[in-house]
Amino acid sequence: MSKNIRSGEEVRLVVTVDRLIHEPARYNIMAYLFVVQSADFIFLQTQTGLTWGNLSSHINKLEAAGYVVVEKEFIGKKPHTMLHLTDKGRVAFDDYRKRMRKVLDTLPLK
Amino acid sequence: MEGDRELRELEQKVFRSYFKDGLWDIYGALILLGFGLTIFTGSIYLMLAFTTVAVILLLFRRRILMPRLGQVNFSPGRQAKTKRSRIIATATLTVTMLLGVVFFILYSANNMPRWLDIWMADYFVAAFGGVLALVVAVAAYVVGVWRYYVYAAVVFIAYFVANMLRPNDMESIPVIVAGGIVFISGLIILIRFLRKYPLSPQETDSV
Repeated sequence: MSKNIRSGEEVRLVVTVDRLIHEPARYNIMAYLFVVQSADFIFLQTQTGLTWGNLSSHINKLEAAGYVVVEKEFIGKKPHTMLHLTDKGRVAFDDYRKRMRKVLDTLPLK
Repeated sequence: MEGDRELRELEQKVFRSYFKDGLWDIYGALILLGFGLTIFTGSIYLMLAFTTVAVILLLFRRRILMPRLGQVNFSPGRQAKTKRSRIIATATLTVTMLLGVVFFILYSANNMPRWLDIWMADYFVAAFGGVLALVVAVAAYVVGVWRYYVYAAVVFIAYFVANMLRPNDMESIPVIVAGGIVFISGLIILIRFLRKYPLSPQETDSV
């Protein structure tokens, strides 16, 4: 009986994790932005290994969710894109990690 | 998330990635080569030439690094840590230089204790190498790049051997060899870095 309750709790925890962050590429982007104050597009591309278009698409989704702020500027005549996590993004990432840790902690070892 | 080891490691990885270019290695190597060749040829101009090239290289480092690796502003925590590390490095350098000046004054005025005078006459080059290796080791500690510890060991061994070869007037050879080793290592790292991180296509408004 208690085992069933526990499995129910695991399922509930899994379904409540933020699916936007759950995608590996976006998790990676969020993790890099979480550990720094801000970074530019090239930095994220070199660190995550994502292609330009792929990274751009994921960032658009994170921006739409209000997790990331994209700031465009010009350095000389070249466009330059800086990104940073919003407070909402930081809280969401922190919350995601806590939930995932709980989910993994409740799983039996073997 | 202060105590989160994984994120801390990720942040350290990001910080260390800014030392992947090998330009600091080449800078150190040029200084070492300058030292060695100056002793070998007796021309101070070589030291000046090598130092000038090394400084110019560092001035252009940002232009080589940033378009390839991108720009990052580290968290206030990391910035404070970097500041602390810089203070430690500066303090170490200052104390080392002050000790050097004190030593030089005592040595010039023949005011050294007798035992130290004899010891220095025998081991001056090795002691100098030890101090130089200490500076490199402090740099390794500050930036957390393990290969700098190897360089520190190479420098110390080179000067130690140089000390032994001093009676034969061959003390410059190990220093030049050490400079060469660090230079080749730095060059290989630089070439690998340039291959791994080619210039990104210019940013577009597609983001």
